Amino acid sequence: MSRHIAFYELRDALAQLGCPLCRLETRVAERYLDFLLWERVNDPDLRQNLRQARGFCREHAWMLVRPGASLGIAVMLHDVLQDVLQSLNDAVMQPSQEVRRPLERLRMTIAPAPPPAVAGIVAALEPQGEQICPACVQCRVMEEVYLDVLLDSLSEAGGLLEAYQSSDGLCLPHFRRAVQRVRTQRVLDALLHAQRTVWERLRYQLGEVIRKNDHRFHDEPWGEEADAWLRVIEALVGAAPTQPEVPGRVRGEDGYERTGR
Amino acid sequence: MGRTMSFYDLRDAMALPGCPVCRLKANAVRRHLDNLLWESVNDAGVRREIRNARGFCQQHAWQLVEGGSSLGVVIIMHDVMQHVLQLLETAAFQPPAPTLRQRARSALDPSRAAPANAELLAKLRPQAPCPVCVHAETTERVLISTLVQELLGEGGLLSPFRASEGLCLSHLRQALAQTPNAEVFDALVGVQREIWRRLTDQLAELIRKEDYRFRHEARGEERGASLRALAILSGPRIITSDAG
Repeated sequence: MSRHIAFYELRDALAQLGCPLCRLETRVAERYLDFLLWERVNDPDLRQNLRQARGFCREHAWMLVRPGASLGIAVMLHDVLQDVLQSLNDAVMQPSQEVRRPLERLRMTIAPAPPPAVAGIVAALEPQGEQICPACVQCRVMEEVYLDVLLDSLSEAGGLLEAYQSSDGLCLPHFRRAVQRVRTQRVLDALLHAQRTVWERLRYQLGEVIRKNDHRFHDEPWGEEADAWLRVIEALVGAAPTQPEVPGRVRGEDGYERTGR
Repeated sequence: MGRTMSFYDLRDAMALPGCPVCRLKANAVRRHLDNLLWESVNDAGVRREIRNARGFCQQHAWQLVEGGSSLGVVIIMHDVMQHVLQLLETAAFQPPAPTLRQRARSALDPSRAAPANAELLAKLRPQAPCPVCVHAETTERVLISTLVQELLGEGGLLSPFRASEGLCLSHLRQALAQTPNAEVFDALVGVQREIWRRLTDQLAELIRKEDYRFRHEARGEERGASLRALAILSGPRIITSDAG
């Protein structure tokens, strides 16, 4: 049976630690940002998108930082900042619309919605239209492809069900998006069963960590539950956005790997 | 005139690199997480909030383990995981709502297909915001309110603000939304414009010095301008302490 390249990428990602979708999305973003920095810095469409999006989202902005990227970043952000400055140059507050009443000022502190006098200026500084970080757009497209391939393969012979069950499974945010794309009872059953297997294992391991912190069992050797405190974070919120140096993890070839497994 | 603590915090943060509100917000988050781990792990109310939020947001969840392994983290997350697993116990398939409009939309653009399993999805979604985000946003509001109220006047924040790296784009928007009058507005926008113009010039200088004709020129204050621009437009890399 012929397979989509995404199938093999998923199969490989499932054999590694952490949520396979987070891992693949990070790779998609890394490749896209590389392509952007080395090939597209002077592309007028990209620059317009970036100006309208007011730059990159926080996660992808800091992923741009890599050796030799300084000029590319400077060129793109110089452009965005100039556009933002232009909005500030045009900004004027009408004196007649000053907020003088104490109650109004109190309301602004508690729930700061921009008053009419500055609403236009605040809106001009927001991302324009529906434009969002271009790396997020790329990741969202690929995420849908990977999720559809994963769901299709769960109920077919030679699919990814077994690999899924022995992996760390999807993180909760990706699991929610997978559930949203399920189209049959059979696939949902397979997905739920696999995810429950993964999370039951993790729950047991967390219980073991708590038990072994008890003074009565403190001398028992640590097993595969040793890094469960990190895996549960990834399981509930997804991989670390800026990949901080977390004790217990060492850098692998393509990201962060954990010791202990 | 009596000043609040936030005034002095802001004044001190303005002498340090980066957006002062981002820095103080990050410090507040760090303190809140420490307090959570050392004081509130077994607080039933706190645990309910965290369960309802389905844990924390991505950023704050990872900040929770920056200090290394902690029994507190495991106890909190074990609880959330148990709750999420319970939600899966009773899950049953629910097809997408079969309205004509949604069927047409799915047929035209499969990527915008109507979501299936709406009930299960609604249960799995956070039922409350990340409790650390709530705390951080409160701190942020107080700081920005102090900034706009104390910007002008004798001994106000205008002078340290002018010497600082200014606000990031997100906090400038929030500050503008709270400006009480045109004087404060003009001062805030004027100073911010000056700071960002300086940064834009530094970026231009950085670009110029990458040209082979000027490559030999020594780097000056434009060094690191790319990173400063990233922080201004997209928010800082997570700052967890006052160092640097």
